[in-house]
Amino acid sequence: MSSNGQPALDEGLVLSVRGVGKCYQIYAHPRHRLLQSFLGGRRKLYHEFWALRDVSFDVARGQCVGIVGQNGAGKSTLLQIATGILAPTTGMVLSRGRVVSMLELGSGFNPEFTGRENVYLNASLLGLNQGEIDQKFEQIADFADIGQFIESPVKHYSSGMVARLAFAVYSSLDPRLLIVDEILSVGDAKFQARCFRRIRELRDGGTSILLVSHSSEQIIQHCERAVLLHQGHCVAIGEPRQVINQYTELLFGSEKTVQKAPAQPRHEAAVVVAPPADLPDHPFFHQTGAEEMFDKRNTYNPYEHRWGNDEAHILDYLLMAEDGTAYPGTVGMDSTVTLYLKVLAHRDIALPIFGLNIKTKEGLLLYGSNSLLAATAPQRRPLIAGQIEIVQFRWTVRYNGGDYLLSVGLASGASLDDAMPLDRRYDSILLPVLPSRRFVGLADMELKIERFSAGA
Amino acid sequence: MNPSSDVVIHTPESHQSIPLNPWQIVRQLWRQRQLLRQLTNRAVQQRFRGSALGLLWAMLNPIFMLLVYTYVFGIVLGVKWNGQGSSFVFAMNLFCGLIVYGIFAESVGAASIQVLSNPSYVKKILFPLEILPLAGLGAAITFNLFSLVVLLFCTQFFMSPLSVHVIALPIVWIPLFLFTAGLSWIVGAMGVFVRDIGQLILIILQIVFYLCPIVYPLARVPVPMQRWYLWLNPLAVFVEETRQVLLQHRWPQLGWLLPNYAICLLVFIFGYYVFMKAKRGFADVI
Repeated sequence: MSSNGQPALDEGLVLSVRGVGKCYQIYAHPRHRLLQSFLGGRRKLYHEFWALRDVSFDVARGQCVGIVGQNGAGKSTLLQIATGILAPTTGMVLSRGRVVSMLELGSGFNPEFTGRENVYLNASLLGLNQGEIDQKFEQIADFADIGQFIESPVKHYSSGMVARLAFAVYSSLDPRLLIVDEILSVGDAKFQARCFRRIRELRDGGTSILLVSHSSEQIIQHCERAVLLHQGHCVAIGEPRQVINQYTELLFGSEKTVQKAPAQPRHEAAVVVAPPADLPDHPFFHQTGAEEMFDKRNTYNPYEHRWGNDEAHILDYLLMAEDGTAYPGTVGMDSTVTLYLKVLAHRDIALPIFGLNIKTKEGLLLYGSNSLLAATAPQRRPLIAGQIEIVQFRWTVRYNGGDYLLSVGLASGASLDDAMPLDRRYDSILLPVLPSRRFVGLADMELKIERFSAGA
Repeated sequence: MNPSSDVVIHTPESHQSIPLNPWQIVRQLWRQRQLLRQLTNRAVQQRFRGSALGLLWAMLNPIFMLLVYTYVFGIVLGVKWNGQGSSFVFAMNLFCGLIVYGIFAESVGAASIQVLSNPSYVKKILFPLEILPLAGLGAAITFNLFSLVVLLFCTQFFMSPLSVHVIALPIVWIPLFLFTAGLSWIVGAMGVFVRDIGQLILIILQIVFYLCPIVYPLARVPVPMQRWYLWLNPLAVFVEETRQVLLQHRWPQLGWLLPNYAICLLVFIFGYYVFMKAKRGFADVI
């Protein structure tokens, strides 16, 4: 509090969220809302829903702060309150200077009016006068790059054009704080790249950014600090990598307690192959029960696509980072990752094939191989019915930061051409990789650069 | 720039106060004048955009309405204005009433859907929603100024030339604007919560049309009831006073106008308060 009793905002801050909570009154029927206004506090016809509870954080000048959290965690509500669209139920938000909010690109546009008219309307909404807008108009039109369409009604625009024009307007108004909600997922790659370049320029000019994103990669690349919201509460705040790891943990739930099942009777024909010497010590290897544990693991993706003829099952998996972390939230580039699969056949499988695919979250197949193709693979021998075996996959991360999904599969067949799928679990394991500053793109080609004089 | 002056604080609704001082209200609205001008321009253009005659319709419309009313009341029914004068005198008196009623009815009639039809202004951007009903009023005033030009032209050349009393028109109309703004805010706020308001208001406006001395002079109303007109129907006063300064070349009667100012100012403040209070709930229902 400053001397005059008004809450004060530190010189170095542009936004301060202090103990903010938001409670919605949920009514079973719209008319109850009207009724309630007559009842006053005597009876409650609604039940309360707290979308946010006691959230506090600051954004310093020139800083980029990311907000992550599952759907319904309260991210949008928080941004609406920070913008001033919604009033908080408790706490307060202090902001300094022009706050420009991009909650949805183009939502401030009137479809009946031309691009030019909409530029003027939106700019004056943010407090610019006619002269200031006149000055900036060329710059805005240039960035939007929609040519003669600027003189046509916005209803004739494609969604990409609306996004371009909106971003051009909002980013040209010298905001002190730019609030961005997941909008950069619209538009083509070229536009996205230009947006990020523009955001970087703004940051160099001292603009602070408050960014909501589902992409761990974007948060880690662009933010200095991250805030993790969970069910309306701020559960973590700090260094983006750590916050993202916590977020990934939240996303995939904590490891469920495992019950030890009685050991299965060993099959006579079992060929016992000794585990490798460097096998880590993890409960995974001691659990010999036949129940499905796969979907109870951290980093399991519940949106997996599973299919096969059910003659054998992939019961469980263990993912290990190089440093021995089980089910890591992220792994670093160049590190070695090990994946163990626990498989159980329900009838003897003479010629099993084990496979692994790595895909980007957009679905691009980055790498795929199997026990027939891989350079190092165990000798082919049957899977015996009732016999639990463990298959180990190990590879080095030679691809760039981002969210990746692993698909694992078990098939049967003499060759790949006549392989019969037994259990395939597509996109079943999430494995985010931390970004590297060494290269751009997906795959590491280990570029080497040298220079020398000509003709020497 | 003073570093502490540009700090904005968003606090819970219960901590925010809505100004009731009319001077403060006007000052708050004045800050949005540029936006108001743009929205008014848009509302005016939107109506005629794409039509071949464009803004000419703003003049043709009242002329045709005037012809119809004059035909029905002046010629078919043979009504004389206050028992005397030609059909043309009748038409001009009627026209005065239509203009005043037009400003009121167009603004209030449009208000019920203004917020509903701009959901993104409520949920996605920080928008001074209280400007929307005012933009509707601005558009209604603009349209009726075209009519006023037609009226002044007709009286100048076909009735009696204009007199100095015309300059009193703003004094008569300022409370009309305050009154209309206040009611537009109230209707606009209610329209968000009760969707039936849009239909209801059309019926009410019809009733108001005949309760106002538009197609008849106030003098034809039984004397005991004229008092009720004065106190309960500010529109009646605007219609009469507008005729007073435009057609009868007399100064407005202060005895009518002063209480009118007081009533309209109260409606203006009350309307603003209702709208600002209701505005907090808009995001919950849209």
